[in-house]
Amino acid sequence: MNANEITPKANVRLYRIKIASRIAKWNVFVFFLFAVCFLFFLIPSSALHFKLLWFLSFIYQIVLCVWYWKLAQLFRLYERGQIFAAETIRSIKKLGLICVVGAIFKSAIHFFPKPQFPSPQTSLPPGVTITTTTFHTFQIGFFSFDFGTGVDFGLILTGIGIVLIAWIMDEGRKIQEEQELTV
Amino acid sequence: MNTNEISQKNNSRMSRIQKVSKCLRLVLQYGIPLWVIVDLGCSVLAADYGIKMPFFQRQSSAAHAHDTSMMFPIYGALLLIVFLFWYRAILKLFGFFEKGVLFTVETVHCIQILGGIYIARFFLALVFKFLLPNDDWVGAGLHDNLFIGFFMIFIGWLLDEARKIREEQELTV
Repeated sequence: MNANEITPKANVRLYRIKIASRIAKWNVFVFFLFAVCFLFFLIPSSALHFKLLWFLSFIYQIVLCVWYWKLAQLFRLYERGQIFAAETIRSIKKLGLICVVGAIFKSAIHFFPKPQFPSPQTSLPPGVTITTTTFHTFQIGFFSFDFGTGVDFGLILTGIGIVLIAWIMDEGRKIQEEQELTV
Repeated sequence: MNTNEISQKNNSRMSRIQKVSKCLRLVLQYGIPLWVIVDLGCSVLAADYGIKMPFFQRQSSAAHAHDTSMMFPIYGALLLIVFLFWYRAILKLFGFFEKGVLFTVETVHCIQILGGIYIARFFLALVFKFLLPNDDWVGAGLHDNLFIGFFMIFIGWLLDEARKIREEQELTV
């Protein structure tokens, strides 16, 4: 097999990577647009308690938007064929760190005391009833890593995992580079 | 910089990767079963003996309105099987990193299996969401699993393609 036979094969693979990365990039961009649109639906309330909750939710949503943006940037780098480049690995590390920051804000929202609705003092007219709906979200024990606290540590662990995988990729890249330098 | 210096540097990098991977593997291998036992113990203490523990909120599984049919135990058992596959795959992946096998066919295969497990979990939750519509536990983090699954399969495929390109380039005379 000579060089002329191999190069087109590698080119085909690289072309496939570029096409798939482009599709992934645009899909993530759609997610990013949805996340940005959702920001406008977070309407602040006049009560201080709800204002603080709104603020935390707003910050979390911004973090989510940044995460999607960075993910789209990562796919753009893959589209350029920079698979193991230093910039790509830096981008993956940033994604992991943003994931941890997002998890911290999500946990802060969880630990924030939920507002208590006062019971009506006066008797209601006949036929009128008050219905209170409380939404609970539960994560089943496996895959959630909540350690019984109700806070999902899975997101923090995922973030740390992403940073570690990026670090391993970085070290692998450096080893490869140094081996290429060996005379 | 001579060859000896470079190989020493490479060795130190590789040993660092191996040490970190070993730590992670051990944490996952023994940490997860320990976490399951502690979680179960805390649940029993809180639910049956009424002992209040700081930060522990899961009082009793009976407090949550589970479906009384056989569907919920079946869902739990299937989820446990999926979880055991995930546990095996993640330990295998860090085991490869520990051995210094970084981006080879085996590791890529492991990453893709992990992605497949997340997608399987998504479909499992989706099916049982229809069977148990009133249960809040079923279907938690439904879309997250699909997103993570596809992302992992994509990254696995990308690494595989990059590996093949490199292999083919190395064959070039």
